[in-house]
Amino acid sequence: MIALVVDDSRSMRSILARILTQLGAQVSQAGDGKSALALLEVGPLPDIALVDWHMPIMDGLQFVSAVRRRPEWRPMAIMMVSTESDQHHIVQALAAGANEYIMKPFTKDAVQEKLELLGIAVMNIQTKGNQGES
Amino acid sequence: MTEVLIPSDATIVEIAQEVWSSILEDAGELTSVFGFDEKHETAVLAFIEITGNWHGSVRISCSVQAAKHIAAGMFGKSEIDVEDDELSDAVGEFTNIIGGNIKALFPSPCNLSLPGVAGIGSFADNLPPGLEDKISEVQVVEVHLEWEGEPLSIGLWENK
Amino acid sequence: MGPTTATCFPFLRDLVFKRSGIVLAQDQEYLVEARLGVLARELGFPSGNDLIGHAMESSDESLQTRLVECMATGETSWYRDVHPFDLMKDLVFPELISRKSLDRQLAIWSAASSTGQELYSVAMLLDYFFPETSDWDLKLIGTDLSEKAISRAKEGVFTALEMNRGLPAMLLAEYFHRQGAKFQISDALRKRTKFSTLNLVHDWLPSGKYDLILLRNVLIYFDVPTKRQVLSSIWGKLNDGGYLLLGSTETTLGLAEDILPVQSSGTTYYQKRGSQ
Repeated sequence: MIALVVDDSRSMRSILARILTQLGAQVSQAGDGKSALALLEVGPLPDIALVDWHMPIMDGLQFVSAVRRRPEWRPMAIMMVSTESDQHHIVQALAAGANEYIMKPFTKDAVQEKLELLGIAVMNIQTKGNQGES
Repeated sequence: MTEVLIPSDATIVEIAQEVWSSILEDAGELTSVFGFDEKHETAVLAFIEITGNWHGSVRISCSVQAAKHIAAGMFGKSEIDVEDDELSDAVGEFTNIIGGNIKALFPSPCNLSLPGVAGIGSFADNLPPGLEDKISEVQVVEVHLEWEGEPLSIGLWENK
Repeated sequence: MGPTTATCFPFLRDLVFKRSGIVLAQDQEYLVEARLGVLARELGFPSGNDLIGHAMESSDESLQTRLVECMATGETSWYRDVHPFDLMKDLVFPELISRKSLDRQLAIWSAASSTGQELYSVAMLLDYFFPETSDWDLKLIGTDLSEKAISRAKEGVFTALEMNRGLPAMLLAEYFHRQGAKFQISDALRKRTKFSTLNLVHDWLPSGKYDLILLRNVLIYFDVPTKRQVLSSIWGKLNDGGYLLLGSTETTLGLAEDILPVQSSGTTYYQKRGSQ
């Protein structure tokens, strides 16, 4: 699995990247929507992008719309990762072309379950001090 | 503006504990305390603004040690290796998540600003950089929490 | 000298086994301690051992109930393991709905419902993908050992952390409304479901027969004779042609030779044939 994490907070990118790595992903990162688009232009196309909502330069919603305008990027799943938890935000993100939505804060299990919902194969790589539950 | 119910202390504590335990795995507990014996002079201050059906800010202050602990947990490294910019990024994101969850308690629509980390000082003494224009805000909620003896306070300030 | 883990664990193990049939294995001591710690803080005891010490000396019925409930409550999430719900969507419900299109009745039982996520997951799936059943006589029941879990299930209110656990965003938008920082499931789905406490080992099972029974992640907690007893009584509650789903790590192998597994959609199910 190849994953792209788009968040202006380095600490949040670090949390997500760590979780995704434990789930067997190769992870690239971007600090806003615009630099994430630049990464997509270079390729390869990730299986999934995890995208924050509020970011400077280009926010998550604008990023989702921009991605969905490009047919060749359609196979990439998009999951919004946001502190926004109002229903109308969730509906808006799905309408723009996001496939899933996760609210901050979240746990590793929650990320894993969402990936499974999207049919993305995960490998639970156990690391010391971080035993997955049965 | 319509009359809006201010969240209770217990709700704010619950949100803080939930955020703490989910982003800092196995980090020990954040417990609610009545107040702190002495003023913690060297505190990291962060804030985020809510506008819309409620207008004000969420302000978080914590000891440098607590801030280092948050950053270490989020970056997955040891506290001694935490750089200053990582500390302020982590406390900013922590504030963003707490602020977002507090925002959800108010009737929508409400908007959340990007978080600001104001550096070291005390909200009570003077307004730190970034908050000078919030002089008219009044505090409506204040909760005190502790992680292994290190203080963390969350205040809700309303722009009346 | 205060009570020690060496004396506390056997007491707790016996209490939990006697009351629920659940076997606490020695290697679960870590989990037991963590859960005890949480309950001890909630009830104002300095430690888990002090809490057990008190339970050993007094015969405080409600404390014993709390202890058993606390040990019996497992992890739960929406659409847990995904595959069983794909199976329901692709095979179980299409088959049941076509077979029962005349009497227009379906009875479904989530036999370890915990706080309700499993039964509500089924209710949402039926409503969303099989709207033709909206005017059917649907019996959707959830039972659990824990009174606390059942009262939460009835309320249908979940924290944001719980909402994150496996619930498709589309369904969150469709079936929930905000309640402060939490979310409540729609009244329509709440009215369609019924939750009550039930001890699978000691109580009479609910009346009637079922088309689908979910007995997921329950058997793993029992010893072999209890597994056999529960499995056989649950099997007796299935209609002919009815389906039984177990947890992803559970099996009837070695417990009931006549209950045969069928593999489909990346999961396993058991279907009762007329002759059984």
